[in-house]
Amino acid sequence: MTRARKVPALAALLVPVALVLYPLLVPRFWILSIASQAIILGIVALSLVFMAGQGGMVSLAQAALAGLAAYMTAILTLRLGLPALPAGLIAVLIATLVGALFGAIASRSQGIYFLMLTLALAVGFFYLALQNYDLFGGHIGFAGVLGPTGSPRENPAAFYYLCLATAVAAYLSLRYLARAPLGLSFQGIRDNPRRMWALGYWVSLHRVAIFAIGGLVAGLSGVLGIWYRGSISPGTVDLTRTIDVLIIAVVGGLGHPIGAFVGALFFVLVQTFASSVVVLGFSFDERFNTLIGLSFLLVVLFAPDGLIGLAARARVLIGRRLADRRRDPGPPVVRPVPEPVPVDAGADPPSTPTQPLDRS
Amino acid sequence: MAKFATDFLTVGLNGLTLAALYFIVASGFTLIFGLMRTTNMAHGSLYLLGAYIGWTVADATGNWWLGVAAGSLGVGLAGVAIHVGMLARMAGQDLRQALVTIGLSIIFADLLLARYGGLTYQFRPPDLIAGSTSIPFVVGGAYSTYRLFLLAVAVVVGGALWLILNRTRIGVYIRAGIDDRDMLSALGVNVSRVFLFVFALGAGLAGFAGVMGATALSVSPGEDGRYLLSSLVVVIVGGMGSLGGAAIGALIIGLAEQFGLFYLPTYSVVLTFVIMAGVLAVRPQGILGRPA
Repeated sequence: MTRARKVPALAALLVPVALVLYPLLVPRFWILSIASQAIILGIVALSLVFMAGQGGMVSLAQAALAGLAAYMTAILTLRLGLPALPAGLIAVLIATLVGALFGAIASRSQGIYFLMLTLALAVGFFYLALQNYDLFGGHIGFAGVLGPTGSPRENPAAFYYLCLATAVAAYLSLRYLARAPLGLSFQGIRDNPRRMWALGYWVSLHRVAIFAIGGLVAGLSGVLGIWYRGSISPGTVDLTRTIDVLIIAVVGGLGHPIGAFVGALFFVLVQTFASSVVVLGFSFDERFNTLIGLSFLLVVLFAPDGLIGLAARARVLIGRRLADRRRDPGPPVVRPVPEPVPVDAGADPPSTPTQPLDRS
Repeated sequence: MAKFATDFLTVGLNGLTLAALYFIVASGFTLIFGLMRTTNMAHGSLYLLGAYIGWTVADATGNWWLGVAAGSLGVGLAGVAIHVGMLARMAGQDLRQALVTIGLSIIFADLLLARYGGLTYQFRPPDLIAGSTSIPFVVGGAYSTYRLFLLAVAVVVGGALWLILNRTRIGVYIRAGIDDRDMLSALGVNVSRVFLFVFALGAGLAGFAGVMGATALSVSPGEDGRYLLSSLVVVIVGGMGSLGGAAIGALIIGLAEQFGLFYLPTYSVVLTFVIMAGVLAVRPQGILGRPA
C-alpha cells in the first residue's frame, strides 16, 4: 500500500513542473488551442464543481456568468477605454455580484428545481444579449479586445502562464475554503439545511455566498476567455455552451475540484480531434456534438463519478493487484467478498466457522 | 377605433395564441414531472423531432393531418423508447435522469441537424384552417385562421387532459401516483405501466406541439432550446406538476412575451424573467404548485 500512496505525492511534484515547462516544449497550437482553452474551460467548470461539491447545487448559470464577465470586460475596455487588467477585475466583481443576485433568486429552490431555474436564468441572459443592442451589441457583440499580455497568438506562452496562474490560484483557494470554517458551514448546509438553520446559521445567505464565489470563479474564466478569443457574441453564452460546462464537470467528475480540469482537457481533445474518430466505420467528422453527447451519456450511465472516479477505481484495483503480488503466498487477509468455505460432506452446517477475519 | 386599441387587441391575440402553443408543450412536461419527478430536459428535442417528422410526412403525402398524426405518434414512441431504455432504470434519481436527458438532447439536436440541415421548413396548413378570418377591431380587420385554430386546439387539449385526469381510471391512478407512488403500488396498481403511459402521453404532446408550432411559425435548428426554456419558465411560474398551473403560466408568459416585444423590444426577455423572479420570491413552488 505504501507504493499506492507514493503515486499521488510523486504526481504532486511532477505535474507542476510539467505544467510550467509545457509551453517551452510544444508548438503554439498546443499551447493555445489545447492547453489554454482547457484551462479556461476548466476554471468555469471548477466553479460548477465547487458549487455542486460544497453547496449541493448543480448550477447551469455558470457559462452565463462567465459570458457576463466577458461582455463587461469588452464594454469597459472598448467603450470606457479602461486598461485590460482593471477592466478584467471590475468584470469579475460584476460577475460576483450578479452571481449573488442569481443566488438570491435561486437559493430558495433545491435539487432539480434549482437546475431548471439556473438554466432558465442562463438562457434568459442569452436572449438578453441577443436582443439588446444598446448595451450588449446584439447578435454582433464585440470584437478587438486585448488582454494584458497582448495578442495570445503573438505571445502564447505569456497568455498560457496567465491562465495557469489564475487556475492555480482559484484551485488552491477553493481547496483551502473547503477546509476553512466557512466551507464547513457550506457543507453542513448542503447536508442538512434545517439543522444548520436551527444552529443559528443564516442558510439563504450562505447559499448566496456560494453563488457569489461561483460567480467570481466563473467570471475569471470569462475574462480569460475574451482575452483569448478577443471577441464576444451571444453564441458564447448560448444553451450549447451552458450545457458544455455541465458536461465538462460531470465527465471530469463532480467529486473533486481537479475533475473540472480533467474534464476540460478531455472535452478540448475530443472537440479538436473528433474528425479523426471513426467507430465501426462511422466517422464523427462534423458530428462532434454527437460524440461528446455520447461520451457524456456513457459517463452518466456507467461512471457517475466521472473520469477521476474511474482513475481512482483503477488506482485502487492496481494498488490491490500490486499488494497481492508483493505479499507472500498465503491466506489473503483482506478480501471484499468472503470466499466460500469448503465444507466437509459430513460437517454440521452450524459448526462452520464464520471467518471473522474476512469481515474485517 | 384608436390605433392604440387595435394594436393592443392584435398583440393580445398574438400573446394568447403563443400561450396556447406554450401550454401544449408545457402540459406534457409538467405531467411527466408531476408523476415521476423526471425532468425531461429532452422535451424541447422531442418538440423539434415531432416538427421534423410531421414535416417529412406532410411533405411526402401532401396531407397536413397525416403529418400531425405522424409527429405525435412518432414522438410518443420515441418517448416510450427513452423511458424503457434509460429513465425507468434510474427511477428516483432525478438529477441523473436530468443529465441523461441532457445528453440525449445534444445527440438529438446534432443528428437532426445532420439529417435536415440548417434550413427553415414551413408547413402549408389545409385550406380549411389556412388564410385569415375577419375579426373586428384587430389590425387590418382580419386575423390568421390557423392561429385561432391553435387557440381552440389548446383548449381542447387542456379539456381532454382534464377529463383523462379527473374522469378515467388511469387518471385516478395518475393523481394517486402524484400524491403517493408507493401506496398506489401497494394497492396493486402496476405503477410502471402508468409511468409508461404518462411518459408516452407527455412525449406525444411535445411531438404534437412540434407540428402545431411549426405550422404557426416555422421549424429550424435551435427551436428545441427555445421550447425547453419556455416549458421550464411556464411550469416554474405556474407550479411544477399542475395542469392548471401550466395553463396560467403559459398565459402569463405568452402575453408578457408578446406585449414586451411590442412595447419594449430590447428588454422583452427581461420582463419574462422579472415575472419569474417575482413569482419565485413570493411563491417558490409556483402559483398553483404545492410546497415541495
